[in-house]
Amino acid sequence: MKNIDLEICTGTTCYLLGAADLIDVLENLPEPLRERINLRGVACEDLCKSGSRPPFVKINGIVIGEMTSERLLATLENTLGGTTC
Amino acid sequence: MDYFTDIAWAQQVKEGQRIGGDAVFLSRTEKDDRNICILSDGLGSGVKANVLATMTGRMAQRYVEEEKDIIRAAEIIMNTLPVCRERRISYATFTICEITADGEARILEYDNPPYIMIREGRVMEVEKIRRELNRPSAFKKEEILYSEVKLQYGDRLIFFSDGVTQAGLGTPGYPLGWRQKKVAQFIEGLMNTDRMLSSWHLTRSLTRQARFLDRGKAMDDITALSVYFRRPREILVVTGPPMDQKNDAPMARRIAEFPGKTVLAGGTTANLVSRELNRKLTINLKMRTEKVPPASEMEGITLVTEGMLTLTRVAEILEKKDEDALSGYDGASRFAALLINSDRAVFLVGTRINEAHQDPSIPFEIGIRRTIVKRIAAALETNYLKKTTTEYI
Repeated sequence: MKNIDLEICTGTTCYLLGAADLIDVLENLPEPLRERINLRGVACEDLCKSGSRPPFVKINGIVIGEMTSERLLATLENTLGGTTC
Repeated sequence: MDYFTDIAWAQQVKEGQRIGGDAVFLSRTEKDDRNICILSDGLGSGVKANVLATMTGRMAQRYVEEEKDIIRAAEIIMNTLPVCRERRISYATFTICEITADGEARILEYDNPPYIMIREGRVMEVEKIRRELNRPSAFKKEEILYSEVKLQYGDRLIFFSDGVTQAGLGTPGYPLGWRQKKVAQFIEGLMNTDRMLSSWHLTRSLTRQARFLDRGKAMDDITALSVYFRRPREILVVTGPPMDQKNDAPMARRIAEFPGKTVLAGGTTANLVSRELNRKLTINLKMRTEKVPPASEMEGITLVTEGMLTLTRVAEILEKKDEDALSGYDGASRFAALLINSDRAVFLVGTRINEAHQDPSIPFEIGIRRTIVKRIAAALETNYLKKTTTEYI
């Protein structure tokens, strides 16, 4: 099974607008799933200038804005297969 | 002589009381750069004792600030303050310590336990001049002790209230309390473990141990004050990218060459330094709280944190002297602890505006970087007697 590279922006704006919750969700995933995610925090990369809105994550190199816990779980489900919770 | 006088104090209030009957006053005179420390113990405990100790301490502080001779100051205080009608003794004991800009310490003691002088990790006896006071209203013979010490690097003066020497009183291990000699041995023990121990840590170790001997419930107010004369420990705090990009490289060089500890506060700043110095930035997702974003690691840098939220939390911790927060693992707790354990802080503040912070959907206002750095510097100077400088780039 393929793993996922997941980068999460921990800059001020992203953190305030939801990245804190996203990290909580990711850290509390069941162990078998959590192990398949290469989670990495990144400092602000000025993604907010790209047109989309914070908080930003990068899944396998693709930038996604306005990320929510629900959307994140759904995306992980799609990418990894099976259910996340 | 380039030195810093590291001064800190700690207190454990008597069990059941909300306010200490021991009072400490610290100040530094702007004109001639003298440090003044006062420890006063009011008769009894609680609010009444606190008022007595505060009155005595404040008077002492004012007199010494106004460059009055400290022996004379003590006499004036004792003649002004009444004696307790029931007990016929003074309302408050006190110790006054004045340290001049060139490291000359003058100490005056009235009825507090003798202070302990540490040189090269061991207790050193100091010669004291006795002076008797003959107040008609006083019941017992009163005397004040005066001493002078020319401080050398590494010297310490440790002052404490009788809550320390009497700790453990009546317990099988310490039927007569901890007592002066054992307190001195305890401090020598601390010196054996860490000769560079900061005043902040030393006073906390001492008061915690005293409370421990009191079986976890302080039987009296336990207060310790420490003066540590040492080479200055410096810290450089860099926050915000420079207004002009051509200053990026010089700023990064300055960080790399700084002789003391270094903190980067801000993602953009961290990315900039990472790029300029070609050092990898690794975010540690565990080092965070709900309100403080994760801190990061970079080779050669003591601490790397997020910017505004972390700085705001640091300002709060320092302003409220929230010491419980200092043991936390998040970026702000570590940051505040680093500042407290340094003597001089240099703040290098980049003034480029962060567009991400202009986002109207952010639920509350993110402060202006300069304002927050000013708050931190002010709290360090006022609450912790540190020296700070701020530069804008």
